[in-house]
Amino acid sequence: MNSLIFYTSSFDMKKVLYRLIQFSGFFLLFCLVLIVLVSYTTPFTPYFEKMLLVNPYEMGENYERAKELDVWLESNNDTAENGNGIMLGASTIFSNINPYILGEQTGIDFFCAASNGQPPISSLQLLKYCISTDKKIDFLFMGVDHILWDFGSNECTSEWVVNNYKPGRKYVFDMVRTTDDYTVWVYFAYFSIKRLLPGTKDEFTPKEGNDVYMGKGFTCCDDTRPSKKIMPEVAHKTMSEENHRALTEIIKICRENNIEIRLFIPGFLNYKPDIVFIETFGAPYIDATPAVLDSTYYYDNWHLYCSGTTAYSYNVAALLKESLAK
Amino acid sequence: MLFNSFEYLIFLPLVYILYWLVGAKKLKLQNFLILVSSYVFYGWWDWRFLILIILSSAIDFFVALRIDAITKPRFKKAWLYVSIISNLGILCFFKYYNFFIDSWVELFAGMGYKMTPWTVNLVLPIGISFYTFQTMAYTVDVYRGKVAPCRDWVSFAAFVCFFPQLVAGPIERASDLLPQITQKRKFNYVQIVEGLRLILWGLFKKIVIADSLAPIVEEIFFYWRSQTGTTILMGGLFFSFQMYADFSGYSDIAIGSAKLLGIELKTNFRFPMLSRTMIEYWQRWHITLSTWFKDYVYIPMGGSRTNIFRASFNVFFIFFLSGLWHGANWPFVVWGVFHVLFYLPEFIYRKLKRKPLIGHIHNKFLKYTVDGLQIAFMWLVLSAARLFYRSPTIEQGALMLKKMIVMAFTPIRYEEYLWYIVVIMVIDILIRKNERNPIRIKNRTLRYSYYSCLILVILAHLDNEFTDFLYFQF
Repeated sequence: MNSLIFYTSSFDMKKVLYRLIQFSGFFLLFCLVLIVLVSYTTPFTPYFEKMLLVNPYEMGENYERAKELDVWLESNNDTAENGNGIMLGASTIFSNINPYILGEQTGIDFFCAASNGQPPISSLQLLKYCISTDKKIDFLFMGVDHILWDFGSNECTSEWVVNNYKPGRKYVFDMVRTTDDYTVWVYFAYFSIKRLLPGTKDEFTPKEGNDVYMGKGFTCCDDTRPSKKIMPEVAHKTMSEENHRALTEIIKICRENNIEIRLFIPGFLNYKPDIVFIETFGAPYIDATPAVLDSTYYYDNWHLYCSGTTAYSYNVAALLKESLAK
Repeated sequence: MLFNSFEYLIFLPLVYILYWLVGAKKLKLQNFLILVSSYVFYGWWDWRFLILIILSSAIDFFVALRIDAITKPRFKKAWLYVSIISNLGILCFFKYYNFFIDSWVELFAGMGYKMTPWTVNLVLPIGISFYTFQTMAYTVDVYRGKVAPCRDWVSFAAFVCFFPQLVAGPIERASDLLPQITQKRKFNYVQIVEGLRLILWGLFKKIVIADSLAPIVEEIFFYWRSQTGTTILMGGLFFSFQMYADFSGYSDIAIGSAKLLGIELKTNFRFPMLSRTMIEYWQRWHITLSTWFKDYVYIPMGGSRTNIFRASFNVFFIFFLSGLWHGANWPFVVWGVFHVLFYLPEFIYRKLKRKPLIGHIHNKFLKYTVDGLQIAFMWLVLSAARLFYRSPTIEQGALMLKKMIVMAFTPIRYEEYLWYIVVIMVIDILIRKNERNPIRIKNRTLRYSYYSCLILVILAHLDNEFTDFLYFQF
């Protein structure tokens, strides 16, 4: 082998290899210095961070949610009358259902850890994190949304990784590890290093939108936001094998840990859920189709305006109470 | 396999290592490696199209040997026709069959006759126009006595399907590429470094410039009815730069990849967006295609050494063919003809007066001003021509052009994307003296910092879905 390497060029081949290794080292150092420099510009201007991380500025909405989740997980277990509940799923959960109303109606202290486009695989990672803490989880309100069943978790992963105040936790790394979007690794590296540096600005304001954070993980869509086109029909998607396994495991974990679970089929406009498929998981479910409001309350097929969330949340709470009573 | 994909990121180093380590001692083994890797590269899209490329190679390999073996000129010519007819036959069938049928049907329908078209559902094999021209030119060169026929099948097949330039050029001549394949290559440090730099620069042009402009171009052309005249002009301009960055980026990666294997390919672009006239533009844009048409069509037709009318017709015909070569659709032909409208006046002036349109200007400031104005005018013309190139119908192209002219001074949208044009133009101006070595900074730390910045910007712009190069469709 040695003779073959040096036959071609003797010196030249070695030189190319040497230069490539030299440049790789330089590149790593360059990235590290750049991250440090950019991080230290954040107390003064978000401009350079914005230049470095183009996409995160369209995400990163979970800063408060991630922080409050930890506060909630560390809080006293005995505040709720009927135990503690976690809400998982996608935006059809966190931007449509008000956990305060749900809690008030059922006596369960709910926290919403749903996120944009959150598929079962990411919900599983969050559930594992929640049950690994001292907080006693008694109830799981698990959104099952057909739209996300073949979803590779990019949007949701970025939501939890970008702008997370503590990116070193296991669920964050698990999300990075299982995503098929390599850019999440870049965000992860950046935020991990940034958080280690004292004096950098903790959070950034994501894109200027009309989302209003209401607490307990609940965000709703401001009534002034211009409406999107309503599609006449929302099609089903087939569930990926990975997500099927994840949902099955979520149900199994709940059984093993005495967590009462309700699969929640969110109701939205022009959509007919596949109930038969949900029944195959063998867990109790709530079909929210009867809770759907008039189309004027909707920003698009899936998401309600803030003004619609109250009525919808009461409808959902009624369905949940009915299901719990069975 | 796309140059801007993870597959290629693994494929190229693998070929490079095998090529220089395992195949270093034996030329035949190296050529065999080129052949196999090229077939793998091409077959990655659809292995069935390999049959076509092998067929094309086999025909020209055999025909060239026959031409060389035969002494009678009449028979030599007959064999040449065998090659031309079979190559053009394959090209026409796959690329132009449906186009011609549809055009005939429309023509007869216009005269009141109804015809039932017999079209075939064909998939256009990637790069067919490129390799057909390359292999056909080889037979013509053998016939003309410019090149000796290649007697080694592996070397010849490697020449036809050499993967860096197989699907979108540069269109190589047998006189340039074949000797490099048949002779022993030496590992050369400078060549390798230049190759890596070109690959990096090409990826920057493709991923950062072209792919960033692509969605805006798509939006402007899709919603063209609701756009203002200035926005349509911007659409044409963005598309011109998208094409430039996309295609020249591809060529840079192709030339760079070939350099890694110790092979030099021809320059395909020489900063065409800095052209001051249409003649200059065609000397800088897709050079290997322009020279191919010049050597194998234009000059045999008489070139410019005939009277002014015949010479003008020759030029017109070349542009018509060039339009048709780009795509089997009439808007492409209009694009070609649009160019000739601005090419011919200067061509005729030069032929009659035997001097350029604008002579040498001694005052530097005045010279730069005139150059700048000429370049700006060229951008306007190129943008207008690209409206036809990008539109699905001539009618849409014409209406967009009309809108662009009538509503010339309306508010601009998407102006923030002009930064991409500024970036590529500034870099083009800085490196204009050496297109084959775009990154020349003596200080190593600065040079490495520049590489690092390019890599980071590329990574920031990289999507999970890699986009095709635009010229793959030809």
